[in-house]
Amino acid sequence: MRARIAILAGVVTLATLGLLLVHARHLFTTGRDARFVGFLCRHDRRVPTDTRLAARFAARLTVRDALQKKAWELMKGRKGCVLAIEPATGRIRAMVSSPGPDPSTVRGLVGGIIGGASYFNRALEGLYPPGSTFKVFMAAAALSAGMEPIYDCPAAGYRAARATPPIRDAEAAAARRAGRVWRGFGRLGLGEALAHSSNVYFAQLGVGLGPERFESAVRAMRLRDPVMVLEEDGIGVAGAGGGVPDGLKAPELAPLGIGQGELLLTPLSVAMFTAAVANDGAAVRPTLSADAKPTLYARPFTMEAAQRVKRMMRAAVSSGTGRRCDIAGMDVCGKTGTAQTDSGADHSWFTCLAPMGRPRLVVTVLVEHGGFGADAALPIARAMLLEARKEGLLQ
Amino acid sequence: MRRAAFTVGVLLLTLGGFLYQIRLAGALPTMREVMPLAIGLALFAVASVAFAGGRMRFVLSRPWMHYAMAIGLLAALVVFGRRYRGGLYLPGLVNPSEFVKLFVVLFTAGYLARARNEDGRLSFRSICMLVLCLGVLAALVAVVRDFGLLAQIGITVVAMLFASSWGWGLAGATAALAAAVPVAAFPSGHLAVRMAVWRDPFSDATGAGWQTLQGLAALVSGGWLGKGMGMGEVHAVPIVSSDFIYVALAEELGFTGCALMLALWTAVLLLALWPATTAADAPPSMEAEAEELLSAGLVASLACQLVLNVGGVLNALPMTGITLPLLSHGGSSLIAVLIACGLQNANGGRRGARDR
Repeated sequence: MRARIAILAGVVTLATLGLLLVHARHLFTTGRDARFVGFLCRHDRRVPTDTRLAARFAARLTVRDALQKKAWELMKGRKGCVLAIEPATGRIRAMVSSPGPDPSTVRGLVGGIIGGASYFNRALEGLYPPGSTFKVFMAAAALSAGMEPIYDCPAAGYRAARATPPIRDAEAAAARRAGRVWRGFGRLGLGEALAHSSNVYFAQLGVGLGPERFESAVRAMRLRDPVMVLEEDGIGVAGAGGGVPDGLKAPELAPLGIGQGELLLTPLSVAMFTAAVANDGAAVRPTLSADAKPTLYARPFTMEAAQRVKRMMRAAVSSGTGRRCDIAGMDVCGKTGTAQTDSGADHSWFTCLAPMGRPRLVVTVLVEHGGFGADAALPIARAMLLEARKEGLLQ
Repeated sequence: MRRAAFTVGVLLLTLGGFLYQIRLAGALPTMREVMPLAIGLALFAVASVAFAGGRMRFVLSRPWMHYAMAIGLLAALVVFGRRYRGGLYLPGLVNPSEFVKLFVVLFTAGYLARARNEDGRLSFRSICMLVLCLGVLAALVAVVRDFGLLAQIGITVVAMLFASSWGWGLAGATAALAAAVPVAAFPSGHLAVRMAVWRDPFSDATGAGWQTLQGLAALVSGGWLGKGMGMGEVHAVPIVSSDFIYVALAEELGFTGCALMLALWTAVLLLALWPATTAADAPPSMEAEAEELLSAGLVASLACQLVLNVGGVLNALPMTGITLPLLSHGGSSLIAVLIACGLQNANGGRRGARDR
């Protein structure tokens, strides 16, 4: 029996060694498996915050630990997302969709999605009305088409057609609630309208731009196309295409001009057109892969248009609705957005770029049902910019 | 000396496991959580001492009692068992499957030692009887649908048959393995799902494959040296404190930590086999043989658990819902394994004046 027991002992030892070999093999191969990479990018929230994990991939990721951690902290307890992209290279430096999936309560085990946690990436796949952030796109599109109109913006608002309700500025509703009288903005040019985020102006701009110019602007920005941000051996992580209606008549463009109506975009799209404005009118393909070379994705705006809109966004922060994001020593240019939704409170948006002279980072924040853009999303973007400055990303 | 080393090894694993459970829980343990540890360690000490000095034969001389206990526990499970999170438990969240395994090993060891003919070989008849008895047991286990337990009992019995003789024992072992092939080759229902997910966890990445993939993510993120105790995001893996504790160790202590842990386990198991290899040269007495078979059985059982758990977690084998002995969360399992280790400690001692 001694011999047979010895054989058993040998089997046990070999089994253990075998297990260690499998473990070691995983360290070499699994981290490079394209499907594993895809799974992690979509579902495992550790990935962007865990640079060691990211470094094992065949594609090293562009996201920065410190920014990711900061974004998670800031989004704790809220629904929404934070995106930080370098406009010149397209590198995604932070991408956080909150609430992150709670990986220990899994569909298969517990039989249901619990507590509102969902497994999709809001930044890439969430479709929302962009609200006033879309005015950035509208302004740049109008300027690129050679339009720079002046419109009358009365307190009573603008009625695109007799049957439609008037589109009013937010100040009108606020004044009514406070029992004050508001006289309207009066005659506004594009720059001031953007700084004050006048709905009345942009509704008219939408109509004035007209279906053909609007459609060509949407096509030029490729808003309806899905955007591949990471591609490895045939698996892809992509941003969803936006829902922009076509075949519209001029009056139907009024709500679209202010980012409402049938318009739905992903936060990535909003970040992308902001980045196009930051990058002199050229939209670079956003990417998660550190090895990817920056490639041109679209050229939606002219250089002059982009630079002018950038300055208008600077005014929005220095003296307009984005005032609370004005950071000393960093010329932040931004645009708040407050998007009305069918159910519940407005979505809070803020999209910005810094510094104005040579923009190094675009930050886009969405807080679902967060109310005014300046209330929920803006402080988060502000904190992200400060963190980015600490990380040396704004040099 | 061997006994001391074995005891130290078992204590290291037990206490290390308990400390790691504290880390996973993130809070100091309550009385209810310390109880199984205290009871287990106490019974370990009691078993080591009470049955030492040759008194193991009192345990091993009653194979049918052990068989009755095993059947009894399984019957209780069939009648009173309640499902919780995929596992079957008796009221009070007691999982008797570890005790069933222990009784099966005690039964088989006692039975095989007594099954020898006059010429010292195992008889065909006795092997058939054994297969029949274990078949009844296996049927009960199949009724409770605990295929992990079935696999473990099967492998353990095979190992013990192998250890007992070259002749009918070996044949019996081969037959038992052959019987398992059709089950594995044509899985149905739940088994089929497990096999499909084993081959390709991506086929159901957010469902059945999730745990495996998250486990691999933790493993890969740990790397060679790990992230450091307490620094990993271990709770991203479902049921990490019991089934998937290996990947938590892999994430925090790295390959190195896991290698050390497995080395410790292997050392403990090899030490447990020691009394058998220092047995006397003359044909061993029935008691001595029973004790050697007991060692073989316990080691086979624990090694089987180890390999099935770690193999499943690493996706080298399909997941069987088996926990890592001594390290995983789970009071009944801890107590049962510590009792088994205590019996092993008492095993093969000098019999003093009553030497054969």
